[in-house]
Amino acid sequence: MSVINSDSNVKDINQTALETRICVVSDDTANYDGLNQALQELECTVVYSTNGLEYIDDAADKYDTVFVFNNFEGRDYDCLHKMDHRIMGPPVILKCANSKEPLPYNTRPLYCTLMSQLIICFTGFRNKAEITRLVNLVHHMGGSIRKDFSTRVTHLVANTTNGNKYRTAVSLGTPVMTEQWVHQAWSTRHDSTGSAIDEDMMQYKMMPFFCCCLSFMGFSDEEQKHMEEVTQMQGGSSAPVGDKSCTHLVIDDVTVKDLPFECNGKIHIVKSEWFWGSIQMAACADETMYRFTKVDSSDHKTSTPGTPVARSRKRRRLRESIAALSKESEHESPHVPPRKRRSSDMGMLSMSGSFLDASHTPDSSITLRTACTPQSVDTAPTTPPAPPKRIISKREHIAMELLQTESNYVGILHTIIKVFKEPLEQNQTGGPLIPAEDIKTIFGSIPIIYEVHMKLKEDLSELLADYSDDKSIGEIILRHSSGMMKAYPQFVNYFEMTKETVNKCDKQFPRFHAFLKICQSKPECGRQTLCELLIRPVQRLPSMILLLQDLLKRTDSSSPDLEQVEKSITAVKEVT
Amino acid sequence: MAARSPFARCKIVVVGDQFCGKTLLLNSFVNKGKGHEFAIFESCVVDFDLGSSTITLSLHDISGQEDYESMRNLTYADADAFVVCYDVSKRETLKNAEFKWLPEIRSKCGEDIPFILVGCKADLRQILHNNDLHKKALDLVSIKEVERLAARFGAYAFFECSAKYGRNVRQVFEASTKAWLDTREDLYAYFTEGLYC
Repeated sequence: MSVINSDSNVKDINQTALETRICVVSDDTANYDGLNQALQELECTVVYSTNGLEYIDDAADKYDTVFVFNNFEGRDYDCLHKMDHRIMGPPVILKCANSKEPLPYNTRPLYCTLMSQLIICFTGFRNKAEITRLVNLVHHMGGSIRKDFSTRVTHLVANTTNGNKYRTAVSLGTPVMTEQWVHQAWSTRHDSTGSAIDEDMMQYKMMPFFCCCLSFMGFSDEEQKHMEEVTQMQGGSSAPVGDKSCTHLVIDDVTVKDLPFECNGKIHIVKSEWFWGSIQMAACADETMYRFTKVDSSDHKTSTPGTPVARSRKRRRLRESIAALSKESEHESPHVPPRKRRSSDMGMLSMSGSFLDASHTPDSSITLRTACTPQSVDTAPTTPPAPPKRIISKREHIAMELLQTESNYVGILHTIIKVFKEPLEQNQTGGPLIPAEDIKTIFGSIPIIYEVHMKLKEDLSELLADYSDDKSIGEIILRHSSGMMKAYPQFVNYFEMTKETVNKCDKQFPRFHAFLKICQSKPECGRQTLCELLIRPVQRLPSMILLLQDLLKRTDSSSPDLEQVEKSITAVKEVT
Repeated sequence: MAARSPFARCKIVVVGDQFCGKTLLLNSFVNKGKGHEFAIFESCVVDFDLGSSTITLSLHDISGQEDYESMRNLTYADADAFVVCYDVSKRETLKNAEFKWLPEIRSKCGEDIPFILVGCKADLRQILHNNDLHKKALDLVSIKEVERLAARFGAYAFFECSAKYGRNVRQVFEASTKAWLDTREDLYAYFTEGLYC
C-alpha cells in the first residue's frame, strides 16, 4: 500500500484531465510474473491494495484508476466491475510496457489483447449462460462483438452449419470458428505476445461437417468406407441409412435415381457433389444447391441401367450369356486344336454363326456413361463434313480420323485447362487449394501444347471442309512441327514429376482431393482422373505417327503430298 | 510409389507387337463392333458390368509407342492388369510376347502383375485353314505353345479372340478384370459374388 512511483509529472490540464493510476489488487496479482517490472517501465502511479475499494473514492476527482486483477472472477472483481471502473489483466500491462505504448482506454474489463481488432459475431448458440460467457471472454481479450453479421465482421463463431449468418460468412470468405477457439485463446491469455489468429489457432476453424451426421446411399462399399473416414476427418459422424441421428443423406446420383423410402423433411438429401464440394471449400456447402432430385420415373425405365427392373433384366441376360459362354468354352476352348473342331458335333461354322447372332451381342452390358471423348467443350464443329453421294477415299477416311482424334485431343487439353488449371489458379473459397508452384509444375506446358494443337486442328478442319486427294496434309503437320518441338520435350521429360506432384497434393491437401473428386465426375472429364488426362499429350504423338504412316500408305506415289507426309512423319518422330 | 485410389477402378493396359490387333480389340470392346473403323484407340474409362456389381475400367493402348520405351513406361504406371496380345497368324508375335512384352511389364510393374494372354485375329485361323493356305498356316500359333507359355509365366487365362466378329472380346476384359480382382482379396468376394452362378 505504498506509492512506489510518485515522480509523476505535473498534470497538464489542457491535455489530460486525470492522471492514470494503477491499482494492483490482491497479492496474487502483485506476484504475477514480470508485472512489477512492467509497472516500473510504465512510469505511472502504482498502488497496491487487497481489494481496491479504498481507491474508488478519490478515483473520481484526482486519478483515473486502472484496477489490475490477476483473476477476472470473485467478489472484489464483480464489485469494481459493477461500478464501471477500468479493469485490466496483467498481460495488457506487460504488453504495453514491452511495446512502450500507453495503456489502451477500455470501458470493459480487458485481460489481454489476444483478440484486439477482431470483430466477432455469434450464431447458433441457444444457451444464454454459454453465450454470455463467450461474449465476456471475447471482450476480456480485446475483441468486439456485433449482433448482426456484416462485411466488417472478421470472425464468425458458430455452433451450427445452418442459418443465414453461416451462409453469408462462407460466401464472403469470413473465417468460421468454433467456440473452442474462444476458450483456447482464453487459455493462452497469459501469453502477452500471441494473437488469437495465429496459425496454430486455425485448427479451431469449424470443420465442414460440424455436428453433421451423414448417411450414404448408392456408393460401393469401398467408396462409402472412404467417405466415412473423410467425414470423420472433417468433423462429422456417419450413421446407417435410416438412423434417427442422421442430418444429411448423401446419394450417389449416378447410380441412384429414386428414393426407396420417404424421408422426413428434416434431413437434407444431397448429391455426392455436396460432400466433396464442402470439403473443397472447407465449409458446409449450401444444401439447397445440391439437393437430390428424383429422375422422372417415366423415362428412367427405358434409359437408365440403374433401376431394379433394368438391372435384373440385365443380370438375367448376363447370366444367360455366361451360361452360353461356358457352353461355348467347352466346345470352343482354345485348348482344342482347330482341326479337331471341324469334326466335332459343334462345327466351327455354326459357332461363328452364333457369335454373329444379334441377340447375343457380347458387349451389350458395357455401359459407357459418358462419351469417352468430350466434344462439347470445343466451339468449332468437330465432326468433319461428309458431303453425301460422294465416295470417301481411304485416304480421306484417315484424314478424317486424324482430325477427329485431333479435335478430341484439343478438347481434352481444353478440359485440363478449364476444369482443372483455371479454377485452381482462381481465388477459392477458403484459400488456395495447392501452392502456386505446384500448379506450375502440373500444368506448366499444357497451354503451349494447347495453342499448337488448336491451330493444327483448325488447319486440318479447313482442309477437310473441302477435301481432295491432292491436298497436302503433310504440309500442315510440318507447319506446326516446330511448335510441337518447343512444347513437348519439356512436358514428356517431366511427366513423372508432374504425376508425383498431383499425387503428393492429393494426399497432402484434403481440399484438393475433394476438388479432384468433383472434377472427375464432370461429364467433360469422362471420369478420367487428372493423371489420366495429363498422359494424353504423351500418347498423342505416337498416335499421330501411326495415322500419318497409314496416310502414307494410302497416298498415291504421284501425289505431291507423298514427300510431305514422309517428312512430317520424320518431324513428329523427332519431337518424341 | 504413388497412393492408389481406393476404389474399384481397374487400369488395364493392352500390349503386344505392332499390328497384332491391340487397337481393334479395344475399339471393338468399347465401341461395340464399330471399332474397325478406327486406327486409333483413345484412352477412356468405361463401366463394366460384372452382374452383381460394376467395375470401372480405365483402358489404355500402347499403339504407336512400340518404339518408345520411355513413353510406354509412363503408360504402364499404376496399371492393375495387362492384356498381352499376339497375332495367331504370326508366330513371331508370340515370341515377342515371351521375350519382350512379358519381361517388360514384369520388370516395370512387378513379377506378380496379373495378365492374360490373348491371341488376336482368331478368324484368320479359320480362313487359312479353309483356303488350304498351308504355307501361311505353318506360321499359325499352336494352342500347345500358348498353353506352355501361359503356364510358365503364370497367366491368369488365355484366349483367342476375333475383334472383327466380336468373338471373345468381352471375355478378354472380363478375365483381365478378374485377374486383377484375384490379387485384391479385399475386393474379390464383393465383386465376384454371383459371377459363377
